[in-house]
Amino acid sequence: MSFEFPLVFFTVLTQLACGMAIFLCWRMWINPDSDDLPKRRAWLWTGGVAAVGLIASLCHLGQPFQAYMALINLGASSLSWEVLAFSCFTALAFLVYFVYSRALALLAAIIGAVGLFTQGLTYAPPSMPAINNVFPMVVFWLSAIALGASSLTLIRSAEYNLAGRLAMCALIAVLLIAPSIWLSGSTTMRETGLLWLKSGGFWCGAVLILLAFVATWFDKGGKILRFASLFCGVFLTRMIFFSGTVHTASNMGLPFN
Amino acid sequence: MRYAFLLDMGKCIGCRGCAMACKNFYNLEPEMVWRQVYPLAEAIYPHSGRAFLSLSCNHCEHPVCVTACPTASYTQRADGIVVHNMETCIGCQNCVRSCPYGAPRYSATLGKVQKCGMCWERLDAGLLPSCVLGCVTGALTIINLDDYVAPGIVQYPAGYPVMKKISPSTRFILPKEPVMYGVKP
Repeated sequence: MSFEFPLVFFTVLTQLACGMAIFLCWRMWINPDSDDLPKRRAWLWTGGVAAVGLIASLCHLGQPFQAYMALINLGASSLSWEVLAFSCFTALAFLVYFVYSRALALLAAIIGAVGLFTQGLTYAPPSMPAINNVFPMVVFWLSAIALGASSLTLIRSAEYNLAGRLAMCALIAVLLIAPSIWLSGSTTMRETGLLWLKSGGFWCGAVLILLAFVATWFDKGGKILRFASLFCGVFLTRMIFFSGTVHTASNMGLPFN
Repeated sequence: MRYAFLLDMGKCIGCRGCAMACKNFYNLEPEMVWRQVYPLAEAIYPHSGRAFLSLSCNHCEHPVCVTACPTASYTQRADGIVVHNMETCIGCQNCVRSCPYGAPRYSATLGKVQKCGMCWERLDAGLLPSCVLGCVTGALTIINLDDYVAPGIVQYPAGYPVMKKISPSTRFILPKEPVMYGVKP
């Protein structure tokens, strides 16, 4: 069982950065005259988090110094688009910190959203029937919104917004309902569902997200603790996403249905 | 012209000669295999004589590795063979994750992915692939899917993932039920 830590860090951190960018952009557009300095710092954090995610993804490669070649197959591969989108997004996030323009912020948020979309496509391969659907897309978007809203409370001392709370609630629901549905699916899906539901890491992750949701809903606990709980929860469930999803090739020669 | 492997499961005895011939020809590392022989589970073939699936890359009609690879290291030739270019591979393993048949394999030593290319260099020279030559029972052969018509050939035997959109080119002749001499079926 491989937890694919570089991919776990890459997906979680880029989703966190995209969520931050989307909320920062939204606030810049609805309230353009508010305080500038905390917002600018938040964009610096956004770029930094995305950059760390991109560096983590290099650790997954057998040839990290040739990573630039991942841009070659833009005509066919969603992974090429994902790499391009997140590279541009990271550069733009830093640029917004220096230039501080609403138009650039909007562009960064849109490109981040494109990155999330391509990420949802990349991690839904046909070899894994349980996630060869809209599941990764939904989980990645909900993670981005929940993490983005939660992180901004740390950086900008902002209050939690309803979107962040709802995303957390929906994330828990999707993470618990999907494996239950897989149990009534094909052999590979059923095995995936069982692996997820039998995994201590999965339940720990789900409970941590639930705790973060309850704490934000009732406004209990420190902001750092709430964010740490949510981040660890998303991180743990993402580890199971990469390690506990069964590949069709693992059942070769065995009965399928 | 579309090349494909044809496995007569009735003839395959699971000796792994095909896998060894491939490994020897390409001088693969000890942990690397491009062709693997999978025994069929008893639930599928409940007889004392076993049946096997000898599988490598299926050189699919719509190969998912070609679209998954971000460096365009996979190309599909006009004759259907899917060739992997190791020179441009960056070892991202997206093809390993994406192929439903587990054909591309990652070599941690090389930091790159490898897979069967149906010995296209040998085929171009008018020779048979090494696995076909290594098969002692003649169970594994090469066919041209465009003009090969034979009764009883299946694309998806039991124990083999059904992927209609991808359409793997490998074809199978199913093993017959064992006959007990002196007993009428």
